Amino acid sequence: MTVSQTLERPGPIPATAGIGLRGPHHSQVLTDTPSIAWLEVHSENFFAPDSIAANALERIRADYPLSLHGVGLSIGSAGPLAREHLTKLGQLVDRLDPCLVSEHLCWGAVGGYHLNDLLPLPYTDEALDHMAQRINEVQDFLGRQILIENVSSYMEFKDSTIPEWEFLAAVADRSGCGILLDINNIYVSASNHGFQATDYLDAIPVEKVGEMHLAGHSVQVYDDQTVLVDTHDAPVCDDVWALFEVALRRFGTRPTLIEWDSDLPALATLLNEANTAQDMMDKAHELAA
Amino acid sequence: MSSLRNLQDQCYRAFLLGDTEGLLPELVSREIPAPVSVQVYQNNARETYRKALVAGYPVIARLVGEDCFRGLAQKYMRDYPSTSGDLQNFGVVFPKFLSELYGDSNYAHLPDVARLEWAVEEVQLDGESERIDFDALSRLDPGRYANVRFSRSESARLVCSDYPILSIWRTNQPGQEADVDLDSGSEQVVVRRLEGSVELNLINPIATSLAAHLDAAETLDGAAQALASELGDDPNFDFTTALQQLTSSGLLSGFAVN
Repeated sequence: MTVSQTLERPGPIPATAGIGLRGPHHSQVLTDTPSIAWLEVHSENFFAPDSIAANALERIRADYPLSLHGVGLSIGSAGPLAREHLTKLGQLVDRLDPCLVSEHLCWGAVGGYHLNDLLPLPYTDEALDHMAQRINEVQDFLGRQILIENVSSYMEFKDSTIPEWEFLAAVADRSGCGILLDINNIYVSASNHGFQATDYLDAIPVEKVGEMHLAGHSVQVYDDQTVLVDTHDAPVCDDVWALFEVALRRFGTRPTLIEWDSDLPALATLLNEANTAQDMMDKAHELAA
Repeated sequence: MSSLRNLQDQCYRAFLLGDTEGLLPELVSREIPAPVSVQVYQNNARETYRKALVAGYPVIARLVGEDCFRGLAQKYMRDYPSTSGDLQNFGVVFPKFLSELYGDSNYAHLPDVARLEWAVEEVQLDGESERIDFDALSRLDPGRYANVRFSRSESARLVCSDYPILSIWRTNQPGQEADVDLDSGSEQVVVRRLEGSVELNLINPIATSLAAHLDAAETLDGAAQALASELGDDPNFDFTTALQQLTSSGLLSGFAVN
């Protein structure tokens, strides 16, 4: 009998705003049980089943719908799929019975060595075949659909022949996965590579989008060249809020997450950001009605 | 080799090892010049690994200072590249790395402090430490004590050093300010997790020796005799205190009687 059969847990995730839960906020969430519709965590931080963090999350899970968001599976890497990593993810999914499971449209390891980064793929037919096949493998292993998130990028490959948004849509079509649309990542990549963020949104099939992400980024300067970098260390900027408004008009309301990983602020700050997102979602819902 | 694999190899060489020759011709220089693209990812890698190490080794970071630690992290990521998608594993050989760098120097205490910090990390990931059943032990017929075999806790860690590593660790916690005399003697520390908190307890060198004999699956009587033979007329030899330290620190967690 699986965990999900033995315990009643909150879910599914509603089309409302949630927050990314990080270690420094575990005890406050356990103590205060703040009013937030759902939570998302990085899967890898809970692979050790008896860790202090995993024990805390088991208790938190009793009160909140939960999404697992992986950052280390490296689905797009050319070598064999990391079976040990995938097995740990599967065990975590069995333990927590999450409402959503997501990974990234990226690679991060080669020849057994990891870069521990979310690196963009060359958008080629070869990479498309590879990515779709790998996502199928993961979904078969986990026995469920996953969502795939677009990443921020700071480089483009000469080999690329397909726009990223078409590549993402094709991956979702061929593998049957859903899409986690990161609005900040679209904004960052559009700014870095000079494409229209709205072109990206327009190319994504509405029915495929299962979740959206909002986050802060930083502006960095290298040799007098300005680059936006997805650092998750700041509030969502006005331009990204504006793009989120466009996304809401196209996709309607979806589970939407405030992500903040570095220079983590007080929990109240994250909750305020989520409230802002929720207000926009409520307004969009009213307009659509 | 597929073109995808080849590109990923080139990215690895450029971002981790600084060899950009193969990658630069593969990149578009439009909004962002290709060399800048590489710099961004190189910087991301350095920061990711530095932050992962600081999270696991905050005392080492404080002892060596920000600039030195940044340099150490950069060398470590090249000498011991990550082999896991889970960054929590990245620091596992950092103590060995520090030992290779500083083993014979004035900073020879750093690898041992790092081993203590990693033990603190590990017990947070492992399960709660088991407690020895003192009631059952107290009910035991004293005539059978000689044949008791103790077992070591699977989740507790023993870290031994010629340096005062626990004193260094404690005085380098946030808000603490104190100098520790590196010549103030060795310290042996048991690290365990109890009721969700990490606990660090000092044990004396005799208790450490006793633990080694008990590890060799010797009965209590056998370990006592071996220890007496080893220590001879050492005035500090107090078998009862040594055994109490091993049980109360959590290093021993079970027993059986032959």
